[in-house]
Amino acid sequence: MRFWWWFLFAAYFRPLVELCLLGYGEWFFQTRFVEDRTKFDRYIIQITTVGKEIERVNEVIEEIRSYPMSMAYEIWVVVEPGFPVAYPHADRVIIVPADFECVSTFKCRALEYARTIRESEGVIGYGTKITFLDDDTSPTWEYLETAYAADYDICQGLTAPRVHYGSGPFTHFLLSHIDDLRFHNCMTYCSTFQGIFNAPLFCHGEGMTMTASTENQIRWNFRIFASEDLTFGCNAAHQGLRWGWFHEYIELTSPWTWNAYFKQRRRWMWGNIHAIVNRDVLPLGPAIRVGVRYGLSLFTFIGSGVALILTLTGHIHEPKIWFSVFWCSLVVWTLNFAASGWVNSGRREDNQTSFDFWSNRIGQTLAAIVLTPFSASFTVIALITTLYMGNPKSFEVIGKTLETADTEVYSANQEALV
Amino acid sequence: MAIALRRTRPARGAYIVVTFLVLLATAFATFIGGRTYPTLALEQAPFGRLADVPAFDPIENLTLGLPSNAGNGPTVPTPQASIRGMELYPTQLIMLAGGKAVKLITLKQPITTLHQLVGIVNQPDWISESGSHITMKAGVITEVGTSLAIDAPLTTELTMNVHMGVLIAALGAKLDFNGVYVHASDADTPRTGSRTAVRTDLGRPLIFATDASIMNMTNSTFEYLGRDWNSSYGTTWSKLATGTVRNSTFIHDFIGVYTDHAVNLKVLDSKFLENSLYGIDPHSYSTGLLIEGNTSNNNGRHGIIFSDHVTGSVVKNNITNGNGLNGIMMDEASSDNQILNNVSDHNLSDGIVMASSSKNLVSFNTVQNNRVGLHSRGDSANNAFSQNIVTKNKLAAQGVDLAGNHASENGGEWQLKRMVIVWIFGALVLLWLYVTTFLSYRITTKRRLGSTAHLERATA
Repeated sequence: MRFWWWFLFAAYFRPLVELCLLGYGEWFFQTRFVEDRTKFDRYIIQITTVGKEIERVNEVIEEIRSYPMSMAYEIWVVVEPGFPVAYPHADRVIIVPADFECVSTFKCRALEYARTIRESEGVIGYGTKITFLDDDTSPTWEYLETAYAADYDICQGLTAPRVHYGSGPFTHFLLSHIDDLRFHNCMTYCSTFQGIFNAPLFCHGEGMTMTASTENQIRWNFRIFASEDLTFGCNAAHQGLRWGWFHEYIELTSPWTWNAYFKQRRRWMWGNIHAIVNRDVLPLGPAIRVGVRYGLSLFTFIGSGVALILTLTGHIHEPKIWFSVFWCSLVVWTLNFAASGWVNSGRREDNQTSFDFWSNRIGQTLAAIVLTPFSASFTVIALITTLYMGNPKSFEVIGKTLETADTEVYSANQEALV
Repeated sequence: MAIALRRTRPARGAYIVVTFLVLLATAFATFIGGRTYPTLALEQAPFGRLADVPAFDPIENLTLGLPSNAGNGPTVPTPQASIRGMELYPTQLIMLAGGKAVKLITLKQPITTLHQLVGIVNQPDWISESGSHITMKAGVITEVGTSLAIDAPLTTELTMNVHMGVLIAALGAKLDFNGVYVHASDADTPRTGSRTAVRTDLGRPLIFATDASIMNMTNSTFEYLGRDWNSSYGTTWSKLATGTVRNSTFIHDFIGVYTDHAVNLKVLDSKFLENSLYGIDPHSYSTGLLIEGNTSNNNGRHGIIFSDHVTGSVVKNNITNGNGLNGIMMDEASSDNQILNNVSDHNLSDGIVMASSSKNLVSFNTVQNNRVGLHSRGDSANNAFSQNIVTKNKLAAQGVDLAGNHASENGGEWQLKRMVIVWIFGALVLLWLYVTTFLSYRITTKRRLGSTAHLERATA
């Protein structure tokens, strides 16, 4: 019986273990991350979009153009056919032909098409760096500089939902804080599993940066409808390519509506499940690794909950010293969310006064602490709910602004895939 | 050029991370390891008590010739002729067997000593005497108006045979024990309430004073008496009975002294040792008691316990040491008592306990080396704890405000020495990590500087 108690109690140690991982990951980046600009002479920043978020994409391009970049770079926009191509400050706009055929579909197909363009132009060497952006992501200047100089086959930075974080309607406020866990996961698991262990557990398409040679070796031609980032990243590591992780921010927007939130999570969940269960998508090792990650999330939620109930009802009597450890663990867990709130609210908007900025930052940090139980629980609830909702069998892209929040694109029946 | 130089990442980030994490870890280590965590689980195994069932008292059992465990329910057990007793009145003595008078002796003058009783009965199979040693094979009941002394030098030892009905009782009478060693015939009698098997030990003898009797015990020893049955616990004062216990020893009994609705009993300068259950157990509306100068050590459960509305009493200058549960306990609405200047040491449970008892004064006691020093639980309002010395307990107090008391070296308190060790260790870890960071950074920075130089050249 005691074994099972401790099995449940193990869930309480997770924040402490995560703190160790986080510290090691950050320390490793600060001391061991390798940058070498001499090896790179071309930089492509590619924004892949369906074409509906034209204003947001132009906004991102404008942002990048405003940076005092230290290298020559090109901005490519890859769009689906049938949408406007008014991207005046893009260097190149590529429309994915309707008749382009490959194994992959949806966004991954667009990525594969862009790759074939580069391949046909001979852009396949280590000297070319490519950073992939979504149409809702804003890389910071430091992010692009570091990504370019990083001497790795593939690397990425820290994802943070800093764009309109906690602002706007109350739903967006809540959804922003639910995303606090994304920042924490990236800071903890990406920093170590990508940066140190070369075995990604999470990958995000926002800001993923690689050499052209890496892209050409792995390619985007997978039998998937979603989770192309995880699939590509895991396959790259599996083939022995070098992963790097750096602490610079790629800023994105949290969903604006519950509908959009569940759509997004459902796509991730079932995209990952599809990748886990199909060996032509993910090799066995990475599949087990990612599967264990989901199991661990469920176990943490259920194990800690059951242990808490058993303790409160007097069924578990462990030495008090362990309860002190658990209190520390709880403090660490809360600090994690506080840190997320602090970092995520650190983006200064135009025309924002110092008072507004700092009061918002402190308020959002406190909100992140207060909402810790909600944010942590809801992530698991979403996991279970999206499992219950079933496979979307399509790439449901959500709107990235308040106005386009519930717009659905890339929806097509993909039964053949599953 | 400025941009290129910016790409050489300053080292301070790593140092900040290392410093923050080590300080956090050290703070947690201080919180976790900087104090003791006493194990507060009870160390004593549960005690298998018999259920309390409606029953005759021991005197009724004897006069009716009923077995010692007879209940008074609808089915009355059959009297047994082997259960015999001598009922002593001022002018006559009735000898009973199986609830029937088998002999009536008219007395010219009252019997005042057990020595006289032996001579008048003159039946060695009932009661016999050898020198100053009397052996009882039947019970003795002193009735209203009688007074019986069992005292030295006439009687120095009284053996009460282990047999149903063997007891000494006072029913509105007076009993005096002085300088006598009273014990059961069989020292090996299994102790009632054994932890492994509940036994009634029907024959284990007892002493019982009731109905405003006066029972005094002086310079005497009582051993192997009592069992787990109503009013049969060893030495009992019941129903307005009173008396004085002075300089006596109660050892290996079921309960040393038990009272039930007793008044003004004084228990002074006596020893209560290794009794099965409690040393001193005033119970059920007993009042006006004085428990002073006693030693109640190594009893199976509590040293001294007041339970069920025991009020207006004083417990002072006693020592309760090494008992299986609490040293001194006020239980179940035992209120308005004073617990003063006692020592409660090395009890397996708590030093002094208030359990659903209020308005007691607990002062000037020394409570040490127990599980919890001072403990208050249940509806225990308005108890006053002051000037007590609470030291070296696993936990100083539960449910008690220690203000006004002297607490030291108890468990659960912060330990300065441990904290110093934790922070020294933290400092060493920090130093080691600084060195590691410095070396790691040096190795990587060389490569970065090289790349920056190249960029500078390109920019130029």
